[in-house]
Amino acid sequence: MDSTLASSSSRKDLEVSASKQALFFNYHEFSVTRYIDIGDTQETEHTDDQALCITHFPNVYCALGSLQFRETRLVRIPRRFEFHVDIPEFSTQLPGQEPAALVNSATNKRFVARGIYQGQVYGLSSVSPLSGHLSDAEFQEIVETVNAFLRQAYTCTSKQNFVNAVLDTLTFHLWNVMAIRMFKSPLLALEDYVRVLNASPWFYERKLRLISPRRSGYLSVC
Amino acid sequence: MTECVPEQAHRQYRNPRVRGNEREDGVPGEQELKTHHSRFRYVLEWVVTLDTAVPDAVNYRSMPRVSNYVFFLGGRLRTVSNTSAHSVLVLTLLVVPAVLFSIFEAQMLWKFGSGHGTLVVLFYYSWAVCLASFIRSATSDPGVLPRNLHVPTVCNDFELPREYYNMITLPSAHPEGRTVNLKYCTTCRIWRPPRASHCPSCDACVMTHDHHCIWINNCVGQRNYRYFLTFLTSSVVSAILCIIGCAIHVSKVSHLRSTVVAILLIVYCVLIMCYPLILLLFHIFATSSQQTTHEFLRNLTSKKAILHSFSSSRTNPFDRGSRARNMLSLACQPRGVSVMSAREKHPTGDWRFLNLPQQHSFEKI
Repeated sequence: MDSTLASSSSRKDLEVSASKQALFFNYHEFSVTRYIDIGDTQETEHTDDQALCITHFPNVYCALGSLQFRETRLVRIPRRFEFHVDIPEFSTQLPGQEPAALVNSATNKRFVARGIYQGQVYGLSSVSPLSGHLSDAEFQEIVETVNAFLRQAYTCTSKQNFVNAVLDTLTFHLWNVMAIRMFKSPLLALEDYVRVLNASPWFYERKLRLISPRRSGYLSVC
Repeated sequence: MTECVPEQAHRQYRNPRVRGNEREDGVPGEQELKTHHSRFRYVLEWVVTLDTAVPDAVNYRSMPRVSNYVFFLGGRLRTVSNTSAHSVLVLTLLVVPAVLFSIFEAQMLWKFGSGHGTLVVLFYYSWAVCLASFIRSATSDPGVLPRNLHVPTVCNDFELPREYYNMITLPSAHPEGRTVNLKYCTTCRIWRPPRASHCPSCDACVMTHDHHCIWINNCVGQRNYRYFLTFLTSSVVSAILCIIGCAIHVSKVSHLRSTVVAILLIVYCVLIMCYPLILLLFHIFATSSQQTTHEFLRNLTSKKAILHSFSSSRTNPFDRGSRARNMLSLACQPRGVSVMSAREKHPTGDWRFLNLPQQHSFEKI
């Protein structure tokens, strides 16, 4: 009897802890309830369940007010920490598919415009317009390639890191000056990958661009 | 509501290098700037770049306007402005004993032969490592993060939504299900990665921020932590070698009058090595418990609990489960590449060099 009680209470604890377990979501998103409905001209207040989910942002990688700034938007792919906490790694799931994303069963993981906020069109779910340009598999392949370069560069237990640290200390930190000229860093190889990807017909024809992770401080890819 | 037109509403935040509208705004163009600012001033600003320097395409000329950094020799060296120049004092404290040792002790020890020459070589080697580490940790990039990467909207004075004032808790790779917390820096306008923090002295967010060291007048972060540890270690080692060398000299001479400098150096080295030694021991204990100085001070509940704080917190997602692995992961963290390199160029209107208005919100949660 006691054991049954104990097991049932521990199961309850597990369920509670599972329900309290942190889930990943795109922390760049935010909600707004005051917006213009599609087909309307006046901004009106909406209920919380009708709040727009802001999934794309002003392009901070071009000059404020430039033509490119007006014509382009950013979809930020955040960093995730489920596999490594000290290595920058980005979410391999398209916005809207993360465990704690705002979902709308009616739209079936497609971006459906619901309202206009500050001159831009948004939907009710976390799904961004990027989902219309890239499939899940394509997106995953790109981000996994980016993550592989980052893992290579930021793994502290790698042989290369130890050898560099020892040689750098022994040579009055001159080794590093030579090493960056002698060996190509995986982070610079990643920049080359981004350049090639952006120039590829695949991205060029779809008018997509992957922002250099180095330029964004390895904080988000867009 | 109509679309936001930031170029009209926020003209005051425009980068001075946006040429397209400079002439319209009455700000002199590039050609006119060249005539106004002589070549002499340009060279002077290359030697020392303060926030009064004319912003240019090279980062080091624009960075002093958005941070407290001052650059030297075309962005090759840096320090922090509006602080006491303790780093010059430290440099003097490093150089003076080496000069005294060279003049009064080195030759004498070398003449003693039978291994004493090795001691002299080892002293100079460790001293050179110490000096190089000091210069690197004091004048290199600690891992400054770029600004204005995560601007959510340009309307209403670049307002921030309520969600951006929240602390975000996300799952981590820790086997016990520990979480990581993320916070948005309202000054730098970025979602700071875990362990990064905003340094008010440098006015910049720094990756894996350990602390702002007044003695090197720079932050200690992901990109210069190993230099800082090497500096502490080599300063202790070189002081010990100097003490040994001088002690041998004193022991081999019958008249103490001829060893005044040796005795002086022994006393000086004993006193001077105390601080780096204590600091080194602190960093050994802090790193072994997977804590940065910033985290240690934050976790410190009271001054009496200093020793208790040298154990890893039960909520620390970075904990590797063993003291050696913890120490290794912090002391040997890869430096990566600089994401705000002072010597690189930036295009016109780069947001990283804009000073956006500070947000004032009473809705902090």
